[in-house]
Amino acid sequence: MAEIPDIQVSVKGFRAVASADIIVNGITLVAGENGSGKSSISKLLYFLYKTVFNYEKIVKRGLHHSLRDVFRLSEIIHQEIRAKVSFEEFELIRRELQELRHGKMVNEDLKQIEEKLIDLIDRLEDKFSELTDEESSILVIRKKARVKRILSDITRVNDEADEQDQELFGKIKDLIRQLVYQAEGAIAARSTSVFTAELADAFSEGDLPEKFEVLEYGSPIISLDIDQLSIPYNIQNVVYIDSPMMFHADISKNIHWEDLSELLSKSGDNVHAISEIISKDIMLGDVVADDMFYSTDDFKFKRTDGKIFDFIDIATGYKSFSILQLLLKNGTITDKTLMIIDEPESNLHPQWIIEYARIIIMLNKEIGCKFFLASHNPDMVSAIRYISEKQGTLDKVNFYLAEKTDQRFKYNYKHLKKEIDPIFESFNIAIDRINQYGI
Amino acid sequence: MKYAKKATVEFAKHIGKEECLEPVDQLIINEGCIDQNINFNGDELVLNMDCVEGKIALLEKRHCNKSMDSAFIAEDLNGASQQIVFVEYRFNYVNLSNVKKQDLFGKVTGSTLALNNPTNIHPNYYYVFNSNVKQQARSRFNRMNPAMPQHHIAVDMFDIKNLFFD
Repeated sequence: MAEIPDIQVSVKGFRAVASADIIVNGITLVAGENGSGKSSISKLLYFLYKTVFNYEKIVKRGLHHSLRDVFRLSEIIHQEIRAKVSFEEFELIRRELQELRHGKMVNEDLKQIEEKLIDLIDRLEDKFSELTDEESSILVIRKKARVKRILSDITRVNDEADEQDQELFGKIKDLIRQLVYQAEGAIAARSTSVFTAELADAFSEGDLPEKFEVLEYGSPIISLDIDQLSIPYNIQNVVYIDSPMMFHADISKNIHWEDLSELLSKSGDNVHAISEIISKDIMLGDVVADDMFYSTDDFKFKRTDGKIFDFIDIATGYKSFSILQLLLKNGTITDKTLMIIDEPESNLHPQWIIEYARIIIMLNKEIGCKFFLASHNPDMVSAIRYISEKQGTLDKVNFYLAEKTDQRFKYNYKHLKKEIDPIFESFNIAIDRINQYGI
Repeated sequence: MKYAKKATVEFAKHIGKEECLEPVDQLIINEGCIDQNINFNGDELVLNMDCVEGKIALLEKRHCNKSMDSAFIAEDLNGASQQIVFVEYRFNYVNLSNVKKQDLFGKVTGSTLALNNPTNIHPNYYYVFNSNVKQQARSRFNRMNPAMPQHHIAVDMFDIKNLFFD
């Protein structure tokens, strides 16, 4: 009987991917021409695991987004009542509002958030009522009318004239309770729709795969056909690396760059033999940061001769190795990590491509983390194949090739198992072109 | 051009190495070919060049030169033109990074000498790999610096059969 794979990924009808059934046991390498959908599969996998691991955070972020008009209303009333409250009280409300408004939510219990926000609305309502009851100037009447209009807009009341202020504030509080209730329900349900919404955000085109299913030890844990997202066991964190250029680019342009930047910013000084190999055998130096709390802009490269360089000034290839080194040092890479690397050979000299492949194989062998690689490079493919064999880990390595289908711009992923020659056949088209165009 | 048995045997007699003729299917098994799907008729004789070179070296009391593994005569359809085709078998190669250009060039030179520098050598030299590494071999040949000349060709046994024996 064939061994049941650790992870099986099945994708059908997604962007350029007609069909792909892919096993991830140790190292999986997919090859194929540009536009064959390798990155689409990589990102599907990444956003799936990311959603699963950050599920509660994502739901709370969604709640925060749904409450944005309530926050804005609170800020408006807070400004309007400035004259009616002491400076201390004004500042206290401002701080509470800021805390609720700016992301403290992800770490808090939803009920606490609900209580705090309703309590804040109660106090704002009281002070606003005091203001409008005591004064009847045109200015105050206009302020009151504006707030009433905003209240109506948020609570979807069509004719605010018929509603009392008190009722409108009551509806705001009901809305808060309802949204929190829904969020609690979503967290308990672990709904697949949260993942599909994340996918729609991640890809510029919002189309979902016709089929997307992930099996762990042969049992489906995630499927677009199943409403609930299960909790994976053998993957417990995921890293997506596509370009060392992310160090100095505007990371906000790419969600996965922001995520990687956050991971790299975690401090840590774990010593690992593989990290030592990167420092001593390959880079002849080490990536360092001065502070305990640093951002990716603060990294320096310290050469073995003691000379220190700003990270921006070092060769891009060093950055590729530095990413692995930092993730090792800060403990991100474990036996339950899935490393997704799109074109690991990017910016590397051929000899460093081999070293990078060797490090991947060692990380898989020594630590047990899994890799999903998309590569265009003959040396990378050969190195993964033959170094794995020498290291005795080839049984966990799988190769795939994207093959054109009869349908234009659509590809099926063929499982090559350990055979890499079909990948070379596709690479060798380049040789034919050189022979055709050259001497 | 296709394999010409009669011409191959005559050539072997001409150079006095008739005893070095060997059926190609036997030769490739001895060279390490394990693919069961390659079928010859069993009577296609080719020159075992290790045998040829060994006998010459013995006669000249020297160490053997490197040589290609086999040679045979191919002729065009009307038999008007004949050429000696050199074939080297690399069935035991697993990792193509071990293929060295100077080794391959040396074999061609050694074989040419062993056959008394004939002028009618086929312009292409064939290096036969297992089918599952043929494309890697092609890549390796091209990515050597400088690249292997285009007439040194990495093939598998099916290619040889299609080119000369079918």
